Amino acid sequence: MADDTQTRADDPEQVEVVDGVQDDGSIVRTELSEEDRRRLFEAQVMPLADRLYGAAMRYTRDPVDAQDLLQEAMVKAYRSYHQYQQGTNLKAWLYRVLHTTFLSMYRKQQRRPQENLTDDWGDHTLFDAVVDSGSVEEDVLASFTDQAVKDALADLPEQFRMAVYLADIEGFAYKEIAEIMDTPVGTVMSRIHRGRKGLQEALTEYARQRGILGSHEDAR
Amino acid sequence: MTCSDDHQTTAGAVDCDELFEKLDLLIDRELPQEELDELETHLAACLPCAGRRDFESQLRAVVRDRCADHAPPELVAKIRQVLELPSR
Repeated sequence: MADDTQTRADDPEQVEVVDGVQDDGSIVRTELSEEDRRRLFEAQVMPLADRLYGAAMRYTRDPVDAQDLLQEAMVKAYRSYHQYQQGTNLKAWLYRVLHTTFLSMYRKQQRRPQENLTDDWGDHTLFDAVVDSGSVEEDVLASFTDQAVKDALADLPEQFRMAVYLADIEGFAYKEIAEIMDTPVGTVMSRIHRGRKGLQEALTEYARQRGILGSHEDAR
Repeated sequence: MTCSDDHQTTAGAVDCDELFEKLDLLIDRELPQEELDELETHLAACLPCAGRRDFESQLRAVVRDRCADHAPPELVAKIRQVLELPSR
């Protein structure tokens, strides 16, 4: 009774997308019908709009730009949706679309030389600062407001900000981030590591300024 | 400062310096299982290093929680309209 059409209508995620393997071994993707494209996009991509908006906000640091970026990225994702291979990592694919869209929209504005992070903080970490000052770990962590964390991230140079965002907020593996950013894994690791240090430095300063993190002397 | 300035625990094949160096990779689980196990063995025997790991993990969770954003409903509606998706 339940033929193909019936199944499709009932469950959008059940739509089968078939690749055609040619005689020479090349794969030609079967074009999605407009209807299937809409259904799949609705079921798979639209639920991720909030997350992608968060990424767009961290990327652009501006609500208006973030809205433009998300809309443009969604249009691109929709148009190239037939290139996404069902069953593979959709989230990574979407973030790659968002990332390249961001670069194409905003690269022209970035005429300043690629910013870098100073390494003068050495091996010091927020944890060390907490231990040294005798502060309570939970109090320090609880003092970080949404705005404090967003500002600390926003102050990181772009490449570091994106790498830390993709790793720590989105939970992507290094290899996935390398694909999203089109960068070697070693570079990704270095950006994450140094970006996290920069983030910790900013948060340490934040806590210090608010007296949550006493100076070493205060603890004595 | 590495934690070895304060203490030095040699538990299994890993010392505190090595743990400090690999802490990011440990929390990110970007090491072979065998190496992760070695680091965990060290952590089980070394309180200061375990404290550091716990703090770093908690900090990651805090950063993640503080960065949640919601797309404005008007924007989502507009995207639906542009893509000609059924409105909700």
